[in-house]
Amino acid sequence: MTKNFTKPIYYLMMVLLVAGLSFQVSAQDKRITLEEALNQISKKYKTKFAYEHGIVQGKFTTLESLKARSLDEALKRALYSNNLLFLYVSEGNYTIVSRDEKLFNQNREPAQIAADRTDNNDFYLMGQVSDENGNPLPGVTIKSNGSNRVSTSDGNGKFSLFLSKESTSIAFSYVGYQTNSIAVTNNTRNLSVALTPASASQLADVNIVSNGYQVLPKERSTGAALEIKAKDLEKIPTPNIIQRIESLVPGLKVNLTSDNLFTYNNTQVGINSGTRTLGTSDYSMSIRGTSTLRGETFPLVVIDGAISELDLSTINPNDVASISFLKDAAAASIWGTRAANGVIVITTKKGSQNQAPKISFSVTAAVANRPNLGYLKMMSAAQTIAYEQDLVAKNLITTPNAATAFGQPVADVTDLTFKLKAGSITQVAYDAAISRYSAIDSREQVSDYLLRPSNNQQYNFSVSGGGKSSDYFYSASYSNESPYTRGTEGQRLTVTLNNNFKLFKIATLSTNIKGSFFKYKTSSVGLNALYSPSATTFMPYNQLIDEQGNRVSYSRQYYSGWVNTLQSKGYLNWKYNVLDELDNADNSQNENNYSFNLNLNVPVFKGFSANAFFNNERSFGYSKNYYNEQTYYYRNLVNGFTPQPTTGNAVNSIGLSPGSGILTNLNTRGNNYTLRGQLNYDNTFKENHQVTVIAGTEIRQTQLGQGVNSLYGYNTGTGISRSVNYFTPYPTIQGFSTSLSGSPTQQDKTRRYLSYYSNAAYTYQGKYTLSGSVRYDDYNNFGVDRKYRATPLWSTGVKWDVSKESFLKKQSWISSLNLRATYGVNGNISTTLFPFTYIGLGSADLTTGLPNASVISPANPELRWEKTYVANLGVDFGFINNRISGTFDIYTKRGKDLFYEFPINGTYGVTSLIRNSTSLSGHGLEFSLNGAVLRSNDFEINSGLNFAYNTNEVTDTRFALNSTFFSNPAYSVNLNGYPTDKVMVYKNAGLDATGLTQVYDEKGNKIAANQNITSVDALIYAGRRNAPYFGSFNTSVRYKKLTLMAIATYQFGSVFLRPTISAYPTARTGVKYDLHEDIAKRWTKAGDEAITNVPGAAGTFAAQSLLRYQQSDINVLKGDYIRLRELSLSYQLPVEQVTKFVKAASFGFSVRNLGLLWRANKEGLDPDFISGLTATTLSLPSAVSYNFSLNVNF
Amino acid sequence: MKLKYKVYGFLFATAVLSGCKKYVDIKTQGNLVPNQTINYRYLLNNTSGFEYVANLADFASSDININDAAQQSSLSGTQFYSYFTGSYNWQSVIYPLGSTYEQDRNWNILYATVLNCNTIINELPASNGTQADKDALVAEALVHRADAYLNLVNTYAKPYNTATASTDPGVPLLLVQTVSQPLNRASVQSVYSQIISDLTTALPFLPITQAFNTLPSKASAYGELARCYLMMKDFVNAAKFADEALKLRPAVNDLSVLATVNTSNYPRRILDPEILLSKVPLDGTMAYSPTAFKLSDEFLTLLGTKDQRYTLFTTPAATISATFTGRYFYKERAIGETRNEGPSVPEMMLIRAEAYARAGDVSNALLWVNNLRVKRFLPADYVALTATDANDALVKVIDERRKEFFGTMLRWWDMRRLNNETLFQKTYTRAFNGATYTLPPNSNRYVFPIAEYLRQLNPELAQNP
Repeated sequence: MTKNFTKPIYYLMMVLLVAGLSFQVSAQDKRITLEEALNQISKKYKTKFAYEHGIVQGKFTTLESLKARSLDEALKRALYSNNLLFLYVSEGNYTIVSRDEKLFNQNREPAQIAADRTDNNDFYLMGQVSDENGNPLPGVTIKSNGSNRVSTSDGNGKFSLFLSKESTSIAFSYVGYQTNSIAVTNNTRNLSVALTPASASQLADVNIVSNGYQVLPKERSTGAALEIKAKDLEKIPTPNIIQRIESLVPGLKVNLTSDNLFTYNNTQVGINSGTRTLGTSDYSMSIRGTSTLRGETFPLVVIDGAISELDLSTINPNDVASISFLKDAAAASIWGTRAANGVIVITTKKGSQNQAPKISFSVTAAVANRPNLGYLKMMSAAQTIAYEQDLVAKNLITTPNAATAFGQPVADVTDLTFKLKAGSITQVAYDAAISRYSAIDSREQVSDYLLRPSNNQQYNFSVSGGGKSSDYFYSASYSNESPYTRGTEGQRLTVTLNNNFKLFKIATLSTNIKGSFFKYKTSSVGLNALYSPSATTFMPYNQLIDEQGNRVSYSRQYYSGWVNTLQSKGYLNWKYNVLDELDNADNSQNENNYSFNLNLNVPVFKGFSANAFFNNERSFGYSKNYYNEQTYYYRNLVNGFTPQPTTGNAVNSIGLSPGSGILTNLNTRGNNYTLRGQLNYDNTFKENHQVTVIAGTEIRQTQLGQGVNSLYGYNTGTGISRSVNYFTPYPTIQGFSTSLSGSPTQQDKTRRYLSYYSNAAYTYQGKYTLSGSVRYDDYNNFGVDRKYRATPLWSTGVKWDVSKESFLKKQSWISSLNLRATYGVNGNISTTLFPFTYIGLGSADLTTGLPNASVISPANPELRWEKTYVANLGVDFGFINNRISGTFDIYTKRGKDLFYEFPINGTYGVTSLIRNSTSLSGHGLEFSLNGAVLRSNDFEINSGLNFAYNTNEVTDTRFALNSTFFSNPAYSVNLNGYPTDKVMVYKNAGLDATGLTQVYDEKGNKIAANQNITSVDALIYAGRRNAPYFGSFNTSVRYKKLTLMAIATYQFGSVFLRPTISAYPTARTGVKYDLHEDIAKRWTKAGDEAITNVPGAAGTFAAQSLLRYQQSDINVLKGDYIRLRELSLSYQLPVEQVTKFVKAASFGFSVRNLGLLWRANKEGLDPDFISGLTATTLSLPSAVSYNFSLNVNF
Repeated sequence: MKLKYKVYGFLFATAVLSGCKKYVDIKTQGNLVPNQTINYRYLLNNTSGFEYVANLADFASSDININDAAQQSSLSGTQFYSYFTGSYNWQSVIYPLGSTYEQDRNWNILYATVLNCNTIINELPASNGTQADKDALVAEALVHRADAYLNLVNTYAKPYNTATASTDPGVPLLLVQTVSQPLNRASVQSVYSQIISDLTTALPFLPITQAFNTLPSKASAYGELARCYLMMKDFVNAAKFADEALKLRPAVNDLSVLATVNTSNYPRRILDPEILLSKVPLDGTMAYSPTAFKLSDEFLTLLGTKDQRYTLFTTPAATISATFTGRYFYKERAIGETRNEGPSVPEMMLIRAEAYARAGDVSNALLWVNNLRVKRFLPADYVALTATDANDALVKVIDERRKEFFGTMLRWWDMRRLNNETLFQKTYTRAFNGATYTLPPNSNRYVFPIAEYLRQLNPELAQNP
């Protein structure tokens, strides 16, 4: 099958090649206009020409004349025969004059001319042109009104020209900048002119779109794509690009779930995970909602033309020139199987040719206060004590007994209460202890000792410029971050070296070299470790430091009464001390990433060019965790492997000696490459027909390796460890033997992709564009039945530039108006599914120590891509000189063959099976509007609004109601006809006389906790977990050099379940203390059902009763909010009045995370931070952070 | 022009290089590709993929009697234990459809073993390796599959009855690893025939010894055959294969020399010379509150207090929980390992004894019983058993089976196969949380129900009465 499919692509490529050759032959002696010839020379030699239009008009030359060995020769051939001359102005800049023109009849330096010509009637004018930041602007065309005299600025922005006495003004024009006319008099000698860029709100500003394979002019791109420029990214001064793009793109949802910037809570790559692992607890991102149920949901990231497997934090945001967001099929399907989630195309900055070095330096510092622990709704000490007494009274905790080995640990008050019950302490002593405990609130200590105000700094340095045949952009940045968790730190160094070289005067070689180097330290004690419900939950009356100033230790593994008897038998101290752990932690990670690109572009013939592209991305991660003998980990392990002695002192069975520790190492190594050959064709025929085609083939390999090992008895001084046997179990304290964990493993996963792709667009009269793309992918793990992977992914689109139609030309208020329509299909893959019986290799069998493997899933010979069909209708508009501009898109998405596991009969050996089985449909719209509310020289107000709506619906009747659904409706599987993130809840009917939750059934009868629900009518559809309506609003006010800006984000239409009690202890689950404040309101005795809805802790169905309470309508809260994300003030320092050395400088002050301006819920909850005490990463809402920044350009 | 040719050459090279579809014909590590025989060795080494058997039968046995209110309320304090109480009280519904615990994990784990075995049996022959290696590995898988089906048929189908076996519904007999075949129940006879066929096919290719008891050897297959024929009441064949097993593995752990047992003086399960094939029940050890097995007074009387199995393998309630009373099964905690439910040397000896008793050979029957008992008492306490007649000998053999195998499912299997023999017929009763449950002879409750959840997915899977 593949053969059949690949052949046509080869033929297509050959045809393109032959067409290119033959075209060239037939066109050998074709006459072309001189203007066209000059354009070609300009392109070929990267030169700029200044001339009056009139002098080249109606003149021709031949193509043959352009085949010169040098620029001089080409110009001579083209111009001399037309009676024209060329004058050298500066490097890469020439002026073309008529041979008759006497003024510039010699090829001389302007300065010399000036010296010669001071006595003439003409007057001499010189000066300098700069951009808005004071950087010299080369190549600006300078033209006077009196005569047709023109000049261009040189590499330093300097210019000089002679003007006739009649000249009253000269005009400075440059692409991308507003043309500036300046009045001159005979006395004017020296001019300093700063050009301002074409207005920020103009659509022309977003005039190209890169899809990673090619750069297309925006007016010829049919797809829904949006490009963000560097200056928009500069508005938010964080070291990670993720926070910067949060509010910029309609339809892009960035969820920031922690205020760590690049020091994520999980910085480790999970080699066996099929989806993104790094940073998942800190942020997530989606473009146009969900397109997959079980595949990767993160958009594909393309950096400088190559798919990147690295996290976005490896990119220095200051290096980014632009980011394109490809949203629909026409924009993204060129990326084939990975495009269904949308594509983020990042392009880094380049230098410009013939430009003196531009140096830029910036420093940013931010501080934020400690987060508020009070946000975690916990019980007070007194309430906790009452709860524990109740648990003991109701026999929900079994009696701890110092005489019994291996008893579960219990909290202090529980212990005392049992002792009182057993009579081993007096009521007086008990009451005294309780009253002492009741007065404590340890959260203050926790906040003081485990949290701190967070801060971060960034330093950024860049230099760019270029010569005649090369340009460069080099940058380096250093950032460091100290998040609010004490003991956690992160540092980052990035280096970028971008170069473009002109080779043999025709080819272009671009190189990008990037490096990012991270260093992390991770705290061994997080808030989550303290508060997550367990037998050793840090109770509100537990202290880190007691009244005498001593650090307090707690028993963690076993009941303290028993543990206390062990130390005299030769065991190590078995208590856990939070602050000691913090001091002893030695947990660090280094990560070095390198990426390098080579892109060779060779123009083959008019319009034809060929590209060869190679990218290599390598990453090396090393994390080590050293547990010295003071750490709890070490002591716990040694004690665990110390059998109880019948006589004499206990000896640990592993044979660890004092003075040593345990070192665990984890090495991660990534090596990905892409090699691509591509042909490009871009030409215009008879002025009206514009054709752009690319076709190419690409191979890609990703390699990820991870090695893990542990060194027992490691001595930091000698570097020597003790050899241990991982497969012969060692005797433990419990009497049986267990193998040691940490046997060395090394995993290496190599995956390969092969693709063919082509993309073509045809534009007629600059008004009507038709586009199409096709891509075929092959992936090594989708390998058994080739018929399933031979389906190409394709797209097609049309675009109509309405504003260019004659009937609208008269409507001067319409600056631009485009209509777009596209349809196509994007793909998605899973890297964890296989067509053959998936036999996963394990390290060693736990029982026998033999190497083992297991059947992970039965063979799936029909495995194929997930496909998402996307239709998009869009309009781009600009009115009143583009003072009001925006885009509007409406789309539908239809997912087919999506991966999902459906339950199957356990008789087949597995209880569920992942197959390309389900479908999903979605739709939405996006809207962005930008307006210059007020615009004058000194005062300017600009506002922008982004809005997006997205929803989806599961369209598979197999998602029917079943018993599993009724037992966990809020988090249960999908349901046909409902969105993937639906929340279904029970109708709460209060508590019954035994304190258990009742719910209403479909008929409105109260159902007790032990009765099952069988009808969907007994449930309520509460809404969606992700907000369907979201976006941002920004406005900026500029007065002279002072700019004030505000950014707000909003979301509407989502719901969430209020975090509440996660679990009560039971005989089976053992002791487990949850501290949620709802516990204080629970049912404790008959009659309480009249005053509370919170179920009691006792009873056979207490767990089900609690679950029904958690998932009932009374706990549904609205997730709507408006968040004030940032307020900033920036000031352009008037350096030009002080020094010439500094071109420009600006100072900025911004305040981030100002909190919610409005929220729908009355409980004070931030819908982005609703994880309860049970969450694996406890997230507290970001504290307000204050940022200071200084930018200087030399 | 020259440069152009170079460019075309380069592009062509790139296209050819990348166009080769062999480029993607590589395999990603970590996912074993089923084309190497050694990979199936690794699969068979996965103890947890083959070792688990059902634990439902263990609770239904008459050896245990949970009559402390404290333990009863602990067990009924959470829905999680409903499988325990459901089986213990011989309920007709154990996994109620719609509850959180509607899946029959016992059924699922046994069929997971069947899937692993079927994958090996059917996919291995196409792999690259020597025929001898392939035969040996397939043979191991056949033994595991036979054990799984023997467990299934003795849990979810009627006891074997020669007259009705070919019509009594057994369990679905899956011999290939597809996920789309119908799940009609094969007859009890078909299941037993398959078990015997699997074991006899495997026998010639099995090794005499294996490094661990988790890996089937010849003795394992003989043991399974003896057990299987015993359940079919084919005592001649049962005795024949028990003999074969005993020829290879005659050793019995000598408890007569032990004052206490612990991990250092009692062999690990995987190396225990008594165990012919290590199998452990789902959920592992049941030696902790609230699921610890409280032994019935009737059984304790039978066991007596002089027996080393009483001294070493039972414990007073205080060790389990302060609020429990009586005496508990303690072997698992004493030896630090989950109880074995696979065939063992003592089982072979007692099968041998039963066959003699059934054949009327009283002296030989008691010879085998006493061969075992001599290892189970301190020398001072040992008294050889005698019997008055064949029936008495048979009763003594069955009683000895109870004493040797208490805490495992073998007692329940014996209750099933003996409940239509007048000599052993008895109505059992349980009192639990104020209700009384009875199990009369020939009751339908000798067969565990099939979870409704499974029937909902495949209605062709018929329920038990």
